[in-house]
Amino acid sequence: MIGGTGVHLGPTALTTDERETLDAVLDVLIPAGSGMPAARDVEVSTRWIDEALRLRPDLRGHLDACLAAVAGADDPESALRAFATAEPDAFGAVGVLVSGSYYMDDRSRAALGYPGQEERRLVDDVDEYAEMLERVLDRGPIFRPTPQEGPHV
Amino acid sequence: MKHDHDPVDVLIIGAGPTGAIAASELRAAGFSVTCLEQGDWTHRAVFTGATKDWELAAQRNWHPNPNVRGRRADYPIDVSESDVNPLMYAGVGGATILYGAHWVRALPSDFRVRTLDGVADDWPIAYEDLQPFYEEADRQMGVSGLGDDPTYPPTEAPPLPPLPIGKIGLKAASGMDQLGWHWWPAPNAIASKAYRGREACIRRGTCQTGCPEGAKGSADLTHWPEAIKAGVRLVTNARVAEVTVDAQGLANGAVYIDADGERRFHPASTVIVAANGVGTPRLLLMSQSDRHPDGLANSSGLVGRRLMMHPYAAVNGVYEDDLESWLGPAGQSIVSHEFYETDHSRGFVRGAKWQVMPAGGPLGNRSGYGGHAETDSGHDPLSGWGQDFHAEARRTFGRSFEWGIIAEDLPDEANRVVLSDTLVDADGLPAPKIVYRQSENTRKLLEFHLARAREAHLAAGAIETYDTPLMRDCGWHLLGTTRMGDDPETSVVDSYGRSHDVPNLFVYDGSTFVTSTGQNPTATIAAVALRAVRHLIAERRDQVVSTGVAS
Repeated sequence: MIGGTGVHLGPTALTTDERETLDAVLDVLIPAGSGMPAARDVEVSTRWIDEALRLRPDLRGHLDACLAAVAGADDPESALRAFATAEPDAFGAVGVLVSGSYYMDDRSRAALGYPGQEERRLVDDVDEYAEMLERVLDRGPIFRPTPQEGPHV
Repeated sequence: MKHDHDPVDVLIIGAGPTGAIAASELRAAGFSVTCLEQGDWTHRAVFTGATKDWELAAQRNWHPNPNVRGRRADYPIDVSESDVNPLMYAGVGGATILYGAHWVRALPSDFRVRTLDGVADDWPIAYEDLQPFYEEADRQMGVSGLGDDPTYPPTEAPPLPPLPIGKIGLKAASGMDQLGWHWWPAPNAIASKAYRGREACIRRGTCQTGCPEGAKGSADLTHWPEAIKAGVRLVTNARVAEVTVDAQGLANGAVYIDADGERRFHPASTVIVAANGVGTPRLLLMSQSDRHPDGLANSSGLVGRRLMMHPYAAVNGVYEDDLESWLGPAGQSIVSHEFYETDHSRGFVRGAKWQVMPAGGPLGNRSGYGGHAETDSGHDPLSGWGQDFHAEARRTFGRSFEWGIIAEDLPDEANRVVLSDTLVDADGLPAPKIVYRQSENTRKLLEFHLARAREAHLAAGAIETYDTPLMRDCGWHLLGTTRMGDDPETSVVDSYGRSHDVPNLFVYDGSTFVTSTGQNPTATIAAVALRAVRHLIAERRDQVVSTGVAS
């Protein structure tokens, strides 16, 4: 057996039908609410899912299985619940893909208050904690010194 | 097999931090040096910290588990009999490419575990032996921090001022202050000012997926450029299959497989193995011969045994305040050694270092604070989704951080690295197999520390806490598998990393640790290596070498 987790890179694009099914899944998992946009409104199924699958081709099979389970269902939420119950690992992978896709969009990030891993100028904040640190120093050393017995120093 | 290399004085196997330190020191002392590295250079332009795809990429391409990354340079690891996955990175700089640069020293008691606590073994060296080398390593790596931490005996302050502890550090410190518990601004091998050709940190917070700014002290930046300029030859994509010995039983070079799959022999007078606590025993075990049927340097039978990996647990706290908890460095903000030393009344021995770290972006935050589909019967597998998805993010994102706990695990010969019977790497060499179980002492230790860390969060005003009892992907610290000691029957190398069996073969990595300490080990690994290589240089006239290969 050869080690590693090499992934077969086959055709990657989702079909139009699959994207429609993905929207149905997104309506259950990430609807609009709490001041946050719905996943279907921030191009998850038309743009970001492709980026997510580029980064995580290893999860494609799980997404395909999920979409197959939900496709054409009258009640997508029930179908998705059944899938999540039967295939918890696959459902977890779908969760990573859709949440990862969702938070790549600027509208989602702005609504959450996340600027991304932005640059910040370094500041010296020692003065903000110096008083507390004085109390640490006042309590004195907390280490056990090297004992005299044992191997020579 | 090709025999087209000229011999060198010293052949180093592995271009991680200790290989880099050894190469730099030896070349400066006039030795001819070649280093064989199984991976390649990792250019900082490929790090994704500044891009939107950072978190998804981090979960695979920059994951610290080589089995997840699946790159050709990484060898696979059989973890079917291990509680913990070993983490590492094959390439110039080694695991410092992906480490958090938590640059902390061991304590004096760490070197006297048998004498003080009646368990495990004492080291053949003391803290005082290492202190000057700790200080030198701080300078070489560019450590930022604040001096006078009462955790340690008096020592030189780090060369760079401390990084900001940020809102998360201030919040955590307020809790420790109320409890009267130790805390200190954390030392990190991350430059708070431009230092020796490195940029200053800009708090990107993506240290553990590679620093796009080049501010983190990784060995590809701190040592290798100068070492190569000085004349060290670094060969990348060179996977060593065997350390060879001559008729006198001395190491005389190594066989490696190059980028084209060709087997080549590199002769040398002296060999240093610096391939980490899994890679080093793997290589010594692969270096079998009729004369060394159990692997090289293994007359004690201890090569690969006593593996320690530091079980890691954490308590995450959620606060009402906006703490901007995605901000770096990550890196550590503050540390605590309040419960580091043994207190027998707790029902276990030894202790743990704690550190505050940021919670990451929305995905990292989500993985720490819920949103997982529950699979227990009775739970709705869609809980955490729908309106809950947003409500959870609103409640926790930017408002949470973790107190992480690095638990000292004690050496146990049953915890070990062996060669897999079935798994091989991309070059057909046997993969390592890990046999590792958490001990009862560790279980009790983690239980105690998790409870104290919850108290620390609550004292700081946390409105909720979440435990992560033991992470499977936590084996950053690979220690103990060629332990040092004075007795050849109970140790593999001496305190200078010299093999008892093969006196011109050295090990310079965490494999030589006698006990694991409860600290991130890279500062100690570096200090031990610096002490060892300077001793080798000082004693060069008495060093026995393989004859017929000296340059």
